[in-house]
Amino acid sequence: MNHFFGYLILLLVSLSAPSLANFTDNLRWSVDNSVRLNINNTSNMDSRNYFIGIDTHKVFNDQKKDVGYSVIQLYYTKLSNQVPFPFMFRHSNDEQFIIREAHYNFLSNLNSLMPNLRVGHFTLPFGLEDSQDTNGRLLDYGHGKNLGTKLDWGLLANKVHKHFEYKLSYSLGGKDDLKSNNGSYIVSARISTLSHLDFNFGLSVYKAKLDSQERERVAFDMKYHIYQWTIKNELAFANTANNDSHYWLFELNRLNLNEQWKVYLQYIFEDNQHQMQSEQKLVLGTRYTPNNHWDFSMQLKQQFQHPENKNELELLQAQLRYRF
Amino acid sequence: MKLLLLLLLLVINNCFADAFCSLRDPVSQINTLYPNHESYLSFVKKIDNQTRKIVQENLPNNDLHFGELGQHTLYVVVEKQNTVGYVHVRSEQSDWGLVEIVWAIDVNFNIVDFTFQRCRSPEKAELVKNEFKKVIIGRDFEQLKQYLAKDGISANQTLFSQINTDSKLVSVVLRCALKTLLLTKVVWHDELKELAQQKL
Repeated sequence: MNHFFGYLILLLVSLSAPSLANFTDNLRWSVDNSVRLNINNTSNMDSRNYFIGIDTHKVFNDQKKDVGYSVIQLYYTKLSNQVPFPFMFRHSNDEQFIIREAHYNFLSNLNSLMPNLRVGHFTLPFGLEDSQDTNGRLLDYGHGKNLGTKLDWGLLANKVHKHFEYKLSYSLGGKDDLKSNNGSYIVSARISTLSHLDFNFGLSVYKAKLDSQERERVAFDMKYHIYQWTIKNELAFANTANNDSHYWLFELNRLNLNEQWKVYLQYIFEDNQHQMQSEQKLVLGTRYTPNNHWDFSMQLKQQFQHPENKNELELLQAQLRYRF
Repeated sequence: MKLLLLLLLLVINNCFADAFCSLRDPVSQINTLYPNHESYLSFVKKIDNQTRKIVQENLPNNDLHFGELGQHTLYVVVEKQNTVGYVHVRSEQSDWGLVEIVWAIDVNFNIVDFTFQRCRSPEKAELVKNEFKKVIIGRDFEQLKQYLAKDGISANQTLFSQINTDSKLVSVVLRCALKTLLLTKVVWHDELKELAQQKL
């Protein structure tokens, strides 16, 4: 709550334009509401999360060409009995205004080698999440857990060329705060084939000092669409504070013909040098989108192999989302 | 407060099922369709139930997928300070899920070219060949409408007699072309008229 007015000013400044008419030109604006129920059978605890937010996208042009676009997402988020709770909250029943994406992308000339430049709070370019945005969904690719944070404040160079695309970011490592903590930083990059193609693969690298730990990660990811089926893979090798680990995510999903229904199955394997036993889990989920407003999703995470010092995770989640 | 209410009114029915950060401009496809272009200018407009009725009136037995409602972008392509055409992406339901096609249209609303942004059918290879494209390219809405069968959703024998495939994807591409030309002309009429008067 302390930062609410700061965030509001940031939102207004980011969306500022010479006049009201220009302000509404090329502006997409939506109120995004969702409620999420988490039933943790491991700890026999239920928790709920409530999100009410403003999601905006605006294209800026100079009458001759597009010069950039902004994405601003500001969410009021309330936890109820959430244990453990994310780093930006103070306790298990806390409420906060959270900035998700908040950036401006300066567009360079299309045929030049000069990259576009993104400034602000953005999702780190790495792995499957880079080509498949999971913002506000139950489905995710472990971005926050694997990289230490999903989003960070900084600069990101990006460009789509004829046969490939890339993103390269430098950010402060402050996560939700616009500052560097004890020399923190994150360098993250992904180069890939064109993301709209049926077969897409990418190579990602990551180096950071985050939470006073040195972190490195390299990943190869691929996705392949055939008929209504999609196969995805991410294979990563990491070093966190001199502890080697490797990670493999496999996903198979299917959409129905009008794409209102999606079902997915993920298998996640993680082997850590400092743990005797590797971790393996399955995620089975579904998403129903009857129209542009409503979205209902449900998923079960079931761990079936886990390190000796951890309990077996069994988590059932359901989410109802309404955008207008 | 009035400004806030005005903004709230503006957003009704404007939404998109996914968060806006997932939006991607079809940059590589524009490069493919207009290799000499220097820049593009976006116009974002709302496609709503009223637009849906216009589609149903002009193309009986046709409808828009729910994902086709909401706000969509028309890209005006600029070369040497002149508008050379428009690019618009439309989806059409098929037997293999949604097919997304990127259309290049000239300033007189004729099809210039197209490329698949997303198509899960293996038959798409046949439809990107010149033999099929030459039947579609250079045609306007009324000319392409002549290729529709009586059911209003399939391609007729006149079209199939000119090509060497009987793929169902032919009808999907035809319907998509017709809807794209109709919607571009109707929804972006004012912006394109103003742009023509301004002369970039």
